[in-house]
Amino acid sequence: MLLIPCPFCGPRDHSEFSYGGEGHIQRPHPPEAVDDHAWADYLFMRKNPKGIHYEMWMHLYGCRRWFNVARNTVTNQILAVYLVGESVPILKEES
Amino acid sequence: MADILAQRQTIMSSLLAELPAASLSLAAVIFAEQPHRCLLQLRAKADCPGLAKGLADVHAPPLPDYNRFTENPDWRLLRLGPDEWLLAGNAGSNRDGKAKEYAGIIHSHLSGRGAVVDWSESRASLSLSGPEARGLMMRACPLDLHPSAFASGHCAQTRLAQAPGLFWQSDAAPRYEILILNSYSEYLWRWLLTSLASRGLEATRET
Amino acid sequence: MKTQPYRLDGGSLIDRERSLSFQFNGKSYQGYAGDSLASALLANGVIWTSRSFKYHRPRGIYSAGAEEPNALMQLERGAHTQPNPQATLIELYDRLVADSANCWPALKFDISSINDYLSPFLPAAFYYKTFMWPRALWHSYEWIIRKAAGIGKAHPGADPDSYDKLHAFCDVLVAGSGAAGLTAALAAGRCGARVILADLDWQLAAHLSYAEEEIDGKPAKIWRSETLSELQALPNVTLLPRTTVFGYYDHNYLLMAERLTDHFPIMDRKGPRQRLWRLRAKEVVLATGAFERPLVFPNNDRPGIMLASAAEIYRFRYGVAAGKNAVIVTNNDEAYQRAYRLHQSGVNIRAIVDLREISSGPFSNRMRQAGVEIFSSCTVLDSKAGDRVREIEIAPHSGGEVMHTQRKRLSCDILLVSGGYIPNVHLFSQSQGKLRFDARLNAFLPDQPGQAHRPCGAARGVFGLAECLIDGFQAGQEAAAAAGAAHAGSGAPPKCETEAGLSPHPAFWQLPCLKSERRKKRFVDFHNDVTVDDLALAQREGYQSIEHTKRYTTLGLAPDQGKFSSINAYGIVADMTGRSVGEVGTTTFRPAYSPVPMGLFGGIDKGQLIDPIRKTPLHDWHAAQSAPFENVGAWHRAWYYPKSQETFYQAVQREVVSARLGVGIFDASTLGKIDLQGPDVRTLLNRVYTNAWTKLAPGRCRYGLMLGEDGMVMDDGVTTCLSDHHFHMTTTTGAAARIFHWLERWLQCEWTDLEVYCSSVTEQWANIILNGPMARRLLAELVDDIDLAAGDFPFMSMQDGHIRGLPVRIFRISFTGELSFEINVAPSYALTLWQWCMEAGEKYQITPYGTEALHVLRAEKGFIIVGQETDGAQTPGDLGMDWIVSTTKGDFIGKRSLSRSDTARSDRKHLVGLLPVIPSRVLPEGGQIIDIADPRPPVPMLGHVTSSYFSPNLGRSFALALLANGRARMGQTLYIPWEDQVIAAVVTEPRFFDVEGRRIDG
Repeated sequence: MLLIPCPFCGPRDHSEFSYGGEGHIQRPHPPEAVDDHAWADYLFMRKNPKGIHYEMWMHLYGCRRWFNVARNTVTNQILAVYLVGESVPILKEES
Repeated sequence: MADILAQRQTIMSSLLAELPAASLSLAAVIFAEQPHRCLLQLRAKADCPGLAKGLADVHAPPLPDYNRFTENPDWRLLRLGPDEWLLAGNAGSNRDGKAKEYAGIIHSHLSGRGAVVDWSESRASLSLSGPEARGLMMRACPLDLHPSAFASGHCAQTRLAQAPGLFWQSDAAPRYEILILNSYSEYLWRWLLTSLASRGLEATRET
Repeated sequence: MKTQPYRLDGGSLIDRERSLSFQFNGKSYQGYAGDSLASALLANGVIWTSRSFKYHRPRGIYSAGAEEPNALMQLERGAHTQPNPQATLIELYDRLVADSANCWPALKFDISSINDYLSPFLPAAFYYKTFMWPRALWHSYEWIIRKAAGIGKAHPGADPDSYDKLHAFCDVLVAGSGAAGLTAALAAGRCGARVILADLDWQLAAHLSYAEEEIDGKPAKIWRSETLSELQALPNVTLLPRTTVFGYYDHNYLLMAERLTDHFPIMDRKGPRQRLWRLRAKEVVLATGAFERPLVFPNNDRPGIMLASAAEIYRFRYGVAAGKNAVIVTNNDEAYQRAYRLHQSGVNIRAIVDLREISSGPFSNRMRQAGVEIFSSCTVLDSKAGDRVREIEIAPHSGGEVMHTQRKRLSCDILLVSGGYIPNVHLFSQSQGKLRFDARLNAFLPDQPGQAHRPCGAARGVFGLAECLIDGFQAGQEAAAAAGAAHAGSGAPPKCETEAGLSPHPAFWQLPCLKSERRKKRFVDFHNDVTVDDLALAQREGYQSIEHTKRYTTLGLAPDQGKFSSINAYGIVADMTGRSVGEVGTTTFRPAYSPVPMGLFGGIDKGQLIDPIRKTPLHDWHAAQSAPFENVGAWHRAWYYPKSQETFYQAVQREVVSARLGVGIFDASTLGKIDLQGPDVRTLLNRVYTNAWTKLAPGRCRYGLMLGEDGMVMDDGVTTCLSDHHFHMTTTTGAAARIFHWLERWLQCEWTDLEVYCSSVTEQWANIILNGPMARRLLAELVDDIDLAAGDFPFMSMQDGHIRGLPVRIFRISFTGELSFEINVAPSYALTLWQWCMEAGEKYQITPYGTEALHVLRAEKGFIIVGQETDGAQTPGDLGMDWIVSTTKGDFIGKRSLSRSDTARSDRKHLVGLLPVIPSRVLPEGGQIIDIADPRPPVPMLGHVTSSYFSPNLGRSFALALLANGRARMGQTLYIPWEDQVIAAVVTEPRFFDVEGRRIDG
C-alpha cells in the first residue's frame, strides 16, 4: 500500500489514487503523419521496466489532478513527484 | 414561492429523523444537517484577477492554501485544487437558497475565464461532534486526524468509507463537517451508524 | 485426584486467586487467570493435544508462543467455533471449551492415523502425482481428499462476531515488547514521538516478569512494572497488548490485529471481537525477538518433546512443570542455564545430552555439581512414547558417524530440545528487507533494510538482556529522531549486569543418525508433516531451488510461513546439494505472521455495506411501488414496476406498450452530467466527439459518440449548448465518472493550451422523462411558461422554464424514438414534480417504466447501449454509425486509429438485427451465432447476440447481434445453439420499429 505524495494535497493513501500507466508518452502530431507501425507503438507499446518507472497518477478522491511519479518498480520507492509538463528529473539509479 | 420551498426535501433530513433525539450527555456522536446549504464550486486560474474581485464582491474570506479553509461569519472558502475552490454558506448566514444569485455576481467578474458551478443541490451537509467524533472519522477516512496533523481550518477531499467525500474540521472539540453526494448519503449514514452501534456507542441529533 | 498435578509454586503472571474452569475434549479441568490454554493443559498433565496434518501422528505442546506447530485447537463449538488457534496463544477464560483440531472420532482413536502406516505410499507431492491423474476419476475421490485435507473446521453459518477497523498513524511503531522493544518504546516515548508498542501477548514484556537479572539496580520484575507505568502515563504512547503485527507492506503500512474480547467467556463478550489497525508508521522498530530452534532426529515429534525455552516459560511465568523427569538435548551453553534454573525449581533434570564435544559455560559445572549426568558428543536416535514421551535412545557420535554399539536408553517424561536461536526476521523480510546468513549464529539476520525500519535485540542477533536493553533503547532514540520527534530527552539506557552474551553454537541441521534409523520419520516441518526424506525426494526430482522445494513438499506453508521450520530445512537442503546455506537462501516470508480471522478484513463492510449503493432522489418512491432494482455501477435503478400478481415479463410488456401508446414516466437521474465552461469548450468537444460542434447554437442539443484513442466506441450521449462558452454534456450512467476523468486527463496532460473547466453536476439535477404520444399534452398542463408545440420546441433543443413555480430545464431528446421530454429539476423537488406528473397523468394512464422497458424500447429502434452492443472492440463503422464520424473536421481522439489496417477491414463484426424464424422464440443474450444447423464441434463462431427481447409493439421477438461480415449477410438464416436446441434466425438491418422515424414529434 503506497503512500503517494500528491503535489497539491500532500501524502495520501494509495486507495485515493488512480493509476495512469507510463508517463511521457508522446502523441504523434499530427496523427495522420505517422504510419500504422508508429501509431501502434504510441497506442500499445509500453516499457514495463524493472527499476525506475516514470508513470502517471491521478488523485481521484482528492484534487483530481494528474501528476508524474518516478517509482522504483522493485522496491516501490517513490523517488520523485513532479507536475505535468515538467521535465524528467535526473535521478541517481537506485535498485 | 413559500409554498414551493415547503416542498423541498433532502435524503439526509429523512435519515436524521430516524435517529432518536437522545440525551446529549449520553451520545458519543451528535449529528446535525445544514440542508440546502449554498455551495459554489469556483474554477479559475489562481492568478485570474476576476476571481479575487468576484470573491470580494460577495464578501468572501481570503483565498486559503491547499487543504485549508478560511472563514467569516457568512462563508467558508475551501481550497480544493490548483484552480478549484468551494464557497460554502454558513448556517444562519442567509446564503442558503441563493446560490444562483451569488454565482452570478462572481461569474460577472470572471470574463468567461473561469466557472462558477452551483453544487448546492448535489450534496448533503452533515456535521458530527461529540466525544467519539474523531474516533468515528478515523474509521471512515484514511487520513491522520491527530491534532498535530489535522486541526481546525483543515479540509480534505478523500474517501469516506468507500464513497468519495469532503470534510473539514470546524473547531478543536473537534467538530467535523462532511459534504457527501446525495446518492451516497444513505450509504454513508448507515455506515457511520453501524460503526457506532457495533461498538455499543450511541448517536443523537442536534435539536 | 489432585487437580493440576503439574502446577508448582510461583508463576509470575498468573493469579491464583482466580480459578477458571475449562473443558478439553469433553473433560473438565481447572486453570488460573493469566494461563494460556497450553499452560493450563500442561498443569493438568495434558501434553498430547492433537494429531498432525498429514499422517495424523500424535502431537503435543511444543512451544509457548506463536511458533507452536502442533497444539492446534478447535476452540468453542457452534457458531463461535474457531478452527486452528494455537493453544499457546489462547488466553484462558472461564468456561472455555476446546477440542483437538485434527482427529476423528477421537484424539486417542483416530481413523486417519492409518496414514502414518501408509506413509511409504504418501510421499511429498503425492496428491498432485496421483490424484490429478487420471483426471476423469478426480470426481470420484475428490470428497475423500477434501475430508482428509485441512485441519480445523469452520462453522458453515455466518460469523456471529463483529470486527472493528480503523486507520492509524504514528511516528514509531515498536513491534514486540521484549527487553529491546520495551526500551525502544521508552526511548522514543520520552523523545515525544507518537509511539505504538504492540505485542501479540496479553502481557507486555512478559519475560521480564520472571527474569533473574537486576535492571538499574532493581529486580527485573520491579523495573518492568515501573517502566510499563511510565509508558502508560505518557500521552503520546499507546500500549497495545493482544495485538499482532501480522502484515508489513510498502511505505511502512502495517496491519495489526488487536484481540478485544477473545479472552472473555463467550456470554460476556460485548462489542467487536477484534480490531484491524491499518497503520502508517513513519518508523518501525522490529523487536520481534528470536525463536529457539527445534532439532531434527528420528521420531522427534512425539508428545512430550518440547523446546527448552518453552519449559522455562511454563515454569516461571505460569508455575507449571512441563514434566517431572526431563532430559535436555542441546548444542549450546544457554540451555545449561535454563536447565540449572529449572532443576533448582522443581523440574528434575535427569540428564543433558550435548551434541558438542565440550561445553564451556559456568552452568555446565553447576549442573555436574548438582549431580546431573552430562553426555557429551551424543545424539538422539529415537524416542518412544505412550500418551507422552517415556524413553529416548542416545549414542555417541564422532565425525558424523554414530557409534551404535554404545547406544543407551534414558527414561524421561519430557525431552527438552535446544538447537540455538532463530532470529525472528519475518516482518523484516515481509517488508522487503534483505537477509544475510550469519555463520556464527548459523541463522539469517537482517541485512539491508527494505524500508524505514530498524531491527533490534535478538531479532538482529543481539543476545543477552544487557545488550538487548541498550540495543532497543538506541533503536528507539534513532527512530524517534528519524521521525522528527521534537526533543531528545530520552535519558540513559537502563543498565544491567549479566554474564557474557551468546556462546557460539555449531550447526546441527539434522542430528547424526544411523542409516538403519532413517526409515523413521525425522520431521523438519511439524506443521505440514515435512520430513528429511521429503526434502531429499524434492532434490532428487530436481526441485533444488528452495522456493521449488517449498512448493513440492509444502514446507513452511500455511500458518507456519517459514518462521519456525525453515532454517533447518535450508541447512539440510544445503548439505544435500553441496551448497552453502547462504546460497540456498530463504523462501519468501509472507503475511500473515500468524493467522487472523477473515472477518477482520471485512469489519462492518459486509451485508448491506459491502459496497456503496447510490440512490436517486426518487428511490423511495420506486421502492414503495415494489420495483426491483437493477445495479448499474453503484447505482440502483428501478428495473420494472410490477402490479399485483404480474410477472417480470408481463410488467415489462405492459410498460413497453404504454410508453408507445400513452405516456410513460422514467427516472433518468443517474445519467452522467458534466458542466463545461471556458473559451475553448467547442474545441474540446470537436476533439473528443467524432462529429462537429462548431456550429451548434445555444439552446440546441446534439448526439455525440466518443472513441478511445484506439478508435473503439467508448461512450455516447447528448450535449447541449447553453451559451457559446458553456455546454451541458450527458454520459451513460455507468461511464459518468470515467468520461469526466477522461476529459480532465486530456485537458491536464495533452491539451494544456485549452481553457475548459469541467464539473460533474450529475447530482445537481434530477431527471424525469415523460415519454409517449401523450407526453406533450400532459406536460402542457403542468408547465408555466414554455410553449411545447413542435415548431416552438423542436426535437434536440432545450428550454429553461417553470413547472408550477419550480425552476426546470427541459430537453426534447429521446432514447425511445417517441415524443419525449427530459425534465431536469433540483433533487430536493424531484419527488414533488414526479407526484405532480403522476396525478396529472392519471387520466392518460401514465405508466412508470423501468430500465428493462427502456432497453426494449431503444432496441426496437436499433439504438445501441455502450457496454451492451459494444465491448470495447467496436468502431463506429462496426455499429453502422459512420454517419456520425466527420471526415471534414480536424483531428479527434481515435481518428487515426480508424484507418489502421485492422480497423479499416470491411469484414469485421457488424451490428445487425436477428429475427428468429419462430417469432415467439427469444434468443439468449450472449448466444453464439453459427452457420450450421446441425453443429458438431468444432464449429466456427461468427458472433454473438447482444440484446434480445420479445416486443409487444412488433408482436414478435427480435435481437441485436454482432456478426462477422454481418452487412454482407442480410437475409441469411443463421443458428444460435442454446442448451440442447438450435434456434434459427434471419439476419436483418438493426432497426425494427418506426424505421422512418415518424413518431418523434408525437
